[in-house]
Amino acid sequence: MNANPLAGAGSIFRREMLLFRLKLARPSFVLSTMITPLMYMVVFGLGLGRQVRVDGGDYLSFLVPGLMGMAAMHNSFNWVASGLNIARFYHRTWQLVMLAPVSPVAVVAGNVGAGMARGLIATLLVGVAGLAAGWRPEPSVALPLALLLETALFAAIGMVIGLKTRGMEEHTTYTNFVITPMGFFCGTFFPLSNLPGWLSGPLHLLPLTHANIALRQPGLTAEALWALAALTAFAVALLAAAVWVVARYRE
Amino acid sequence: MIRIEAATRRYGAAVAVDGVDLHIAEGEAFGLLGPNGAGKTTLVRMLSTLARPDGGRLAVGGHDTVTQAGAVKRLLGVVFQENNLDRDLSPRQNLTFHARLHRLDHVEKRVAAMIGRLGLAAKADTPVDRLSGGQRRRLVIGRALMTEPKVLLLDEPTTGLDPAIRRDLWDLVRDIRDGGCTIVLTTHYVEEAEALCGRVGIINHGRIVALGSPEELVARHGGPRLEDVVVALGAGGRE
Ligand SMILES: Nc1ncnc2c1ncn2[C@@H]1O[C@H](COP(=O)(O)OP(=O)(O)OP(=O)(O)O)[C@@H](O)[C@H]1O
Ligand SMILES: [Mg+2]
Repeated sequence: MNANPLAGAGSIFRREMLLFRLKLARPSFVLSTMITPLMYMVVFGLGLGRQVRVDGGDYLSFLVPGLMGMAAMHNSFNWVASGLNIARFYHRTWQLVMLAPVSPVAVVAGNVGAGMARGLIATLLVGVAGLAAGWRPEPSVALPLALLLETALFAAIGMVIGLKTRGMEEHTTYTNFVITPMGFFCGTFFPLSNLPGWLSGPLHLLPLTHANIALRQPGLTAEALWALAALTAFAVALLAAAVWVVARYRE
Repeated sequence: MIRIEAATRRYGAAVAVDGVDLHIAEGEAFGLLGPNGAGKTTLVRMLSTLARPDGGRLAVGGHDTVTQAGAVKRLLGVVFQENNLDRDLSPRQNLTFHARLHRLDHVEKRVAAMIGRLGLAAKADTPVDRLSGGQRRRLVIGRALMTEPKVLLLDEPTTGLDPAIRRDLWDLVRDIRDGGCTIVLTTHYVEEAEALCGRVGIINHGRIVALGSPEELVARHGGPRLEDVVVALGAGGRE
């Protein structure tokens, strides 16, 4: 009956964006998205960073793309995972989606698409804050490509975790033990080459590391292509995992 | 239309539904009457395909709720015990999302017609947050009707509403019943089951302890009213 596996994805996406628009309209959202990255920029970029040079550039030019990568991760993950938690346990609107004749692929496409949109808007806000702080980037296609893949894969993680957890506390645990540490260890604040090999090696198993590499490349260099390929592999695997979890969802 | 055979569902060591057998014919309005924790919601959730039985099987329209969940979903309209609405969105937005999710045609027209039928025209574009309990309940029931289901599951459609509003909702349910839809309705209220249902099952501790028309139950278990039967069967108390 449903020849098109994506049928219904658009309605899910539109609803999520409708709900997001209501949040975006409140100044508190914009401020709270920008406040933490802005503090990092002031403390590390302007304060501490004056004495630091990384890879031949000033520290702010190193830091801002990293903060954008971190915002992309946090926002795409959080909106999807906590949104699903609220929809499952509080509003119970998730049950409506599960009872509708839409394929798991469509459910993932709609939710991940909305997570990406929200992650990218937050990232843009951080970029704007960076420009205000004096960041002057060289335009590079590697940056938007990395952000697209990164938001897709973290939104997919958000789906898996949002559907596997049993409430908000568990969600917070994942954020504190998985997502936040990635933000500190995957090259947001300093290049991984500063770390000893036994530590930097395993960190390449984490997706944010590759996002941070690709984000800072001046264009589609070999290094950028490798990092983008790794991100693509992560995204494909995690999207497949999300489809699998949705298909098996039962209460 | 509905065949339930030895349906069982456990939560840990507790048995929420314990070997329920039940057949409900097409066009029937069936009432599931029982106290808090009796297993009504669990049974409805299994019928809806959302919850899997641990034992036995359930079928709607000849389709198994586990192996043919897709076919079951296409027959069903489900009204859960909680008003699962997007509270920041308006009735119109809530209905529109549902209609699109089910890929109905002429969405705007259908939504407008349903808002009219529910008597919510004045509140059509007000956030659901600002609707009364009765209005929200209407909206949830109306939403389930958007897809013109063959079977409607109503889990406590009127709990917590004042008597006048309950009667209002009863009229709506009668209207649906008279349209030929098969209805399974759960309730704590004896008079609700009597008013709406041709047949009633009394459920307690996950088991159906009595089954028949309200009149039959009164005759069989001693009356004078259905309420007395419920009390006599030990299903009247609160847990
Ligand atoms: N998700 C759950 N986890 C653990 N136990 C549950 C869960 N859902 C229901 N139960 C238990 O299963 C039993 C039946 O619950 P159910 O919700 O089906 O009853 P009910 O008849 O709908 O009650 P009420 O009238 O209060 O809505 C109860 O003992 C309840 O505590
Ligand atoms: Mg219940």
